[in-house]
Amino acid sequence: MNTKKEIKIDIMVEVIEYISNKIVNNCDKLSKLDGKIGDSDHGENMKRGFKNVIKNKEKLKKKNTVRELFNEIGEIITFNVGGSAGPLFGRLFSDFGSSYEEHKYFTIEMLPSAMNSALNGVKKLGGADVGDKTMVDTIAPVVDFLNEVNLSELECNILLIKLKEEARKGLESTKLISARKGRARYLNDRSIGHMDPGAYSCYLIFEAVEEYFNDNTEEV
Amino acid sequence: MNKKILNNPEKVVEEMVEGMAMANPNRLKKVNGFNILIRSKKKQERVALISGGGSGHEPAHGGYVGPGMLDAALAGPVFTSPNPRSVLKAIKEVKTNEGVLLIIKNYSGDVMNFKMAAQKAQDEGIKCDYVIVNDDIAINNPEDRRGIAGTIFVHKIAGAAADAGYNLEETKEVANKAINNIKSKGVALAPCYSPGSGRPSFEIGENEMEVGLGIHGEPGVEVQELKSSREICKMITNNILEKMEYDKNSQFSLMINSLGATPLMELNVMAKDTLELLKNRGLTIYNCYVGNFMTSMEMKGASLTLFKLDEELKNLLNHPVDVSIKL
Repeated sequence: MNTKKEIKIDIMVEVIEYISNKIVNNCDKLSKLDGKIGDSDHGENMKRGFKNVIKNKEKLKKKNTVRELFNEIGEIITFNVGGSAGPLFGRLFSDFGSSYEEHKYFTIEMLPSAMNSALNGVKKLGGADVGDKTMVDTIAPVVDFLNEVNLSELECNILLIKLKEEARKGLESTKLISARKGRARYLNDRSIGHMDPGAYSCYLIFEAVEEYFNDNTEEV
Repeated sequence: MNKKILNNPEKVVEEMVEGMAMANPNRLKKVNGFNILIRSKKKQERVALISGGGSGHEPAHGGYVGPGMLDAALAGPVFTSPNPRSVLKAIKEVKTNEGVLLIIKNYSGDVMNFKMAAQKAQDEGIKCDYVIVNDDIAINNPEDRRGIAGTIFVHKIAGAAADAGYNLEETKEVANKAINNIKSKGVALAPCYSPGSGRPSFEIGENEMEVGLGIHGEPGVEVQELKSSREICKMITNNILEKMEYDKNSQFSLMINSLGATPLMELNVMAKDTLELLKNRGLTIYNCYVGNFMTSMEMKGASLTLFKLDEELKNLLNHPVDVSIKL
């Protein structure tokens, strides 16, 4: 694939809107998951935050650089989701774009470094690592894959499917372990057998990106 | 079980905060556009104190705003930490030249949001620091211990220290000394219900109690058969004393706290039992607080807190307060 093809700000905002709708539409599912190992409000919190992202769509389209765009999205999420998910998902987005002060567009070539930066930001803020039953478990395999793969040898639609699959694997792994971070850690082994709701929200992002590009016939 | 007197579940926090301000017009003021309560008369030239967290723990923390205690309290969504922007707003509302101390309960969300706000305040040149309360010994690892009813003692000690003219560093130091001397643990008999979804916070059998349950309905360390007050108080007091360093001369303040639905009748039975068994162990109880201090909406259950005092802490604890609940 041509890894240098430019994705402009307005298209990125469309993708963000698609992601946000996916999260809003999965509100009940997320709260139900949270009910198993938390206080069953993860869906409501995420919905409140991402509804605000959608509300600010036109404002986001006016952003000049990738950094400005993702910083604004991060702020909206941090300030509207609340709890620990607010700052963590906020950081995921803001750090995804933080290195691109000059860039007026995104390319697939930038994806590995953007995802590394997003993962590191979340790890640093929350103090979680792989195996703690958090959103880090969803993101880490995606980042590992991006660090290994030769992007120019892969078609874009295949890449996005691969990333979604890696995220899913990471998500599924949270079922098998007990939580070591967040409120679910108080459950000790009683959290085993349930997926982490934050990890699920994170998976939805990769699922949404894959659907957005692969269901829209236009090639990236 | 799940009946509530509400208008709109989505507005419950805002309406509650407005109600508290309206019911205490000489004491409290709501910050426009935010679920923050501040004192009607702002403090000058002393360290300002802020606490807060998710709602559902009333009277914590708005009930502790006033002379002798907090300068501002934040009310996040039910059981969900307030965001950093609100915390920063509270800091700006009450900041003094002496600085601001944040009193944070040890939950991932609270710690993250309050620390982010503290950082932002510092970046803007505001003197700001924080302490983290972790009194719940139901959790073994001290780093993971949650902040529960013992937090009220920290509000009181830090509030008195600020009034006495301690600077920011000294206020933080004495608050941390208090935190190290405060240990709590609770039992829960019945869950609370989310105002929005109506879902119970946990499930439990007819004749069971959760020992060491968290104030958001996080499951405790174990489920046991419901026991008598005397047996419950003995178990909890022993658990707490095991985690404390003390000797025969140590003096304590005791707090018997309802999680919301357990009435004063039962709390006072617990007070009798706990005070008797502490006396039988030869320990001196300096004073005792019985009531609803840190609740979990309509959760049924109670927590016990022991606070080991030295002369400095005793003096600070005696400092009078003027807040909307009796302390």
